[in-house]
Amino acid sequence: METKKIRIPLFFGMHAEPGQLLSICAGALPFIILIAGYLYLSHERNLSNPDEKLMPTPAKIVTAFNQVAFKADVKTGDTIFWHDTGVSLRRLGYAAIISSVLALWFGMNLALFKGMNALCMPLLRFSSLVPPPILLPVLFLTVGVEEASKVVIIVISIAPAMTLAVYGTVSKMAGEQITRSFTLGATQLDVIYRILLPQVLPRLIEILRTSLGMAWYSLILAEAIAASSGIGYRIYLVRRFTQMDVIIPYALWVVVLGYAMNYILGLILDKCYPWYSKQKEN
Amino acid sequence: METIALPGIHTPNQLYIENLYRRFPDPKTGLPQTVLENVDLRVNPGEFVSIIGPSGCGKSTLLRICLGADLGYEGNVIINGKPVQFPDSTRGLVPQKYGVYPHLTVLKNVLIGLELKYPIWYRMTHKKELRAQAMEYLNDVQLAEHADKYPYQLSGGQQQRVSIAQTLVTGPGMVFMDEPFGALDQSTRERVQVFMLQLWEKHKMTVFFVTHDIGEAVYLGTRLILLSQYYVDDRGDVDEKGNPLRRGAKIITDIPLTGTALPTKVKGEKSFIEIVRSIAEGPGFKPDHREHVRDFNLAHSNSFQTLTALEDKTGNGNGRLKKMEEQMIRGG
Repeated sequence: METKKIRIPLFFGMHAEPGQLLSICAGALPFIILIAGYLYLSHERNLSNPDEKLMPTPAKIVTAFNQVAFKADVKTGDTIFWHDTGVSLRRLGYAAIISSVLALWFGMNLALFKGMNALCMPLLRFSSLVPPPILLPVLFLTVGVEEASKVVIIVISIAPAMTLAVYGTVSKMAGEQITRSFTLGATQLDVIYRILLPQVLPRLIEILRTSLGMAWYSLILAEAIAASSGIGYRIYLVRRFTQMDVIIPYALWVVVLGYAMNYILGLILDKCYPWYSKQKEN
Repeated sequence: METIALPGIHTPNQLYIENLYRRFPDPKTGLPQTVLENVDLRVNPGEFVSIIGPSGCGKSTLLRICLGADLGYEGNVIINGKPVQFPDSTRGLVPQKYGVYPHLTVLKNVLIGLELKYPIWYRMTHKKELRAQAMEYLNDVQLAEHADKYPYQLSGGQQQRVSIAQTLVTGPGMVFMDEPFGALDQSTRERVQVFMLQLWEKHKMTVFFVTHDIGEAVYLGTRLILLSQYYVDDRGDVDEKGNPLRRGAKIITDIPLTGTALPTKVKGEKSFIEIVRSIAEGPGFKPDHREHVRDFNLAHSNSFQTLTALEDKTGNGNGRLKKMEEQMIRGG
């Protein structure tokens, strides 16, 4: 009689259960390959051409990064890198706040008041289908190329989808829960501010988290086309001089910023709304 | 469908339904489809009414109408002497799911019932009393030690007990329960049933208890109502095109259940099993076992029936109503 337990495969097949260590190693592998490939190619290219610009060596990248990150610009007196970061983050922050408020207000109103729904829903569905880049020239012509237009373009590109997401959340919650709240003696204001709003807020944070990618996309786009500072502006500016040694650290920096934002929002969610993620698991 | 004004229907916590119809448009054809058809019901304060019926018979619809959450009905629904109002704290609701607020702790879930009831200045000055009162109800449902937990940390049965405490703490005269124990396992279910009876003995509210478990219905109620779309009347069984006639549900059984004293209502007892079996095998539960509208078992003393001339061509059905009117006039 065979008594040996079957073996669970480590990596291949649907039954595989890679351990923690293997998972980390496996996840790191593509990065290592990419970096090694880059280092090899840039080394080869730099040997044959010391003025190589497309694939700068790490040393060149560090030099260029030092130049933009720690040396003051001769014209403005700012360090370019931090100035760009500050400008871009400010635009992103304003847009995130405005979009969240709009999404919360409209989303809840649309879900709770049938009259509001009839009034606004067709316009919302329409506007959520307009690709934001199409509106860029319109915005630059109407709002101008000042700060406002960059914020507005981000809001336009994320707010409709966020509103629909809030609307969906509240609609699902409504119905039975609202009837029940009324039977507990709640007024209409109680239902909105004491029952529904505290439950929608964590969901709003989650919606904002998933919208950040789109927000960055719109920000870079708007800055690339019409701006005099910001991360998107810088990357598109130095592209004209094939300064890959500047573009690469900027691109990596955007990744770091995006990760940090996602992490902070996740932290807020866990700290302020411990019941939220747990409840979803059940 | 003329309204017949009956005496004595204006006492608090009394429910009076007469000639109630509810029609919904058919999702395919768009034609109105009757879910509740000429329902008559009278419930006195303090009754524990178990409502059973085959699935899709409109039990939940009836409950929603009584709560004021569905105002698309035709006929008369009089609660507390007035046509049914929007949902308010005079009528409590214990739903099958989503009864508790996920963002509040157990204690706050119960406390919110009190907080919503009183204005803010009262809440500020009576914090301790309100808390103590909420804790008392949590004690009743044996959840005092879980007061600071969130609902996700509780089992299904515990959550349902929180939901019941939350409803009862507001002190409603009527409580509507829509398959409240449907999601619970057998042993939890039995404990919550006993517990529910204790609460009812203590607070003496009117309870409407919808369930699909006949045993549960007989065990808990003082009165059993079977709502069903499976019956026949003088309109015949097919329409003019020969299609089988689809009828809305009626109350086809309305009987008193033996006593309210707990010990006599033992589930293992022969008479208990007998009642459950006779109901399960009786008319109305299966499409092929139908009874005529004139022959419904409406033995409960509060029961009455108003049939239209189409439903009962002999006119005998209305005799029951007349008899009850006479009784009420004589009895005051």
